[in-house]
Amino acid sequence: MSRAGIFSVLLLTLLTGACARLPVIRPSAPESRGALLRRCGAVFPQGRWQFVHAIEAALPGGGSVVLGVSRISSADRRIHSLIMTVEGMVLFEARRDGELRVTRAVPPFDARNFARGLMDDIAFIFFAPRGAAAPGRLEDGAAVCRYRRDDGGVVDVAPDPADGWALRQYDAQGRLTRRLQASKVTVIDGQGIPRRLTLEARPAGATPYRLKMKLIDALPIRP
Amino acid sequence: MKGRLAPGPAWRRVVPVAALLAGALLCVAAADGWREIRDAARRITSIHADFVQEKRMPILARPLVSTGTLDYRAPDCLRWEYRTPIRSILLMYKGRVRRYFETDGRLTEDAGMDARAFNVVVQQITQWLNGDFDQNAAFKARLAPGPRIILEPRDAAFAAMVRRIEVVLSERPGVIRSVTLFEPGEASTRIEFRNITVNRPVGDDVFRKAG
Repeated sequence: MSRAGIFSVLLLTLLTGACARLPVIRPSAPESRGALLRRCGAVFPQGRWQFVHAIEAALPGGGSVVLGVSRISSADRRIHSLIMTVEGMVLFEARRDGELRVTRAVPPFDARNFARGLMDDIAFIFFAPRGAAAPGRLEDGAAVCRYRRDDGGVVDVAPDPADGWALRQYDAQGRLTRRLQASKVTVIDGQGIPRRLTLEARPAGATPYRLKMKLIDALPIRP
Repeated sequence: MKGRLAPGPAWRRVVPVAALLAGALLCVAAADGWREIRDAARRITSIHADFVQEKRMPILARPLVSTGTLDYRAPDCLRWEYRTPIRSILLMYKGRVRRYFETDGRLTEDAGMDARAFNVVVQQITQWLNGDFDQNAAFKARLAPGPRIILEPRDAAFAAMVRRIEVVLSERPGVIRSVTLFEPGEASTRIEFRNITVNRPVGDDVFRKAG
């Protein structure tokens, strides 16, 4: 398979829609602010966890699937990530512990910016956004917590009363850069863990992509 | 130095002779062993087996366990199917390799499969199933007690991926009981075969159709 073809295993063109912009929110009533902030905070796993997902990327003429192992620590925002084939062959391994260290990267996973983008995806999925949160409601009435980041960007956390939650990340210009839909939540060790995740990313200057992730294993790591 | 064999003239004569003798015996044993293995494998026309695969790595707090089935028909048809944790099927039929995975209950052909890499892997598997361990361009092979076959990569590119492969033979002639791949970084993949049946007729569709 060509280099471009392999690269498409994780990077695929998003055909969806025009650029979404940062929506306006109406502040919540003071009496409901605390409860909503707690619901927003609860979507992110606390402590140390290991997750194994089947990660599927749709491609023209088919698709592909790999296994992803993510070991995270919410307290210090450490990430250890590994990607392997279904057969168990390791394609990529890296850690982010202050600095990013790539220990294995088989082409095309050695592409420039791949490791950084992957770590940003994992942090977006599993770590509570940095910055102050403002609870409120969107125009359609949906509850949302808006986190304003130091770089001028925004992350909206929108718990869904029926099942799961949505995360949306906007850059400083209000352009939607990442979107996550989490569903089929199961409770493990007191923590709500989604069995299905769909991540869409539109990084500036790079090819958009969409990944569907199916939970295979979630394990809290005891010290 | 009391009690220790001093390197005198007699010792210098005995050691090379013993080494030569041991080497010769080992070669004979290996030659017989390879021939026996190959002859036994060639009496097998088809294999069906369940397998359990355990992937161990330092990052994994518990092994990642996958299960599936293997179907092989000599000399070049293979179906390697994972049932859990996700369904994925590798088919080889008369030299053509394809892979499918299941998503939302439907089987989809894997457009991201690296056909060249899989051809290498499939060639290895079919060589082993044919009993051709000692005539392998990619690995040098030796027999060990068990009986086990130890395969070590001949070139550095392979060694970066696999340090060593151990194939444990079943008491049943020509049948492999388990394969363990020892990888860099204290990682390993062990595949154990169970419920093995041999020499039953297998139709083409098993190797041609994923569903």
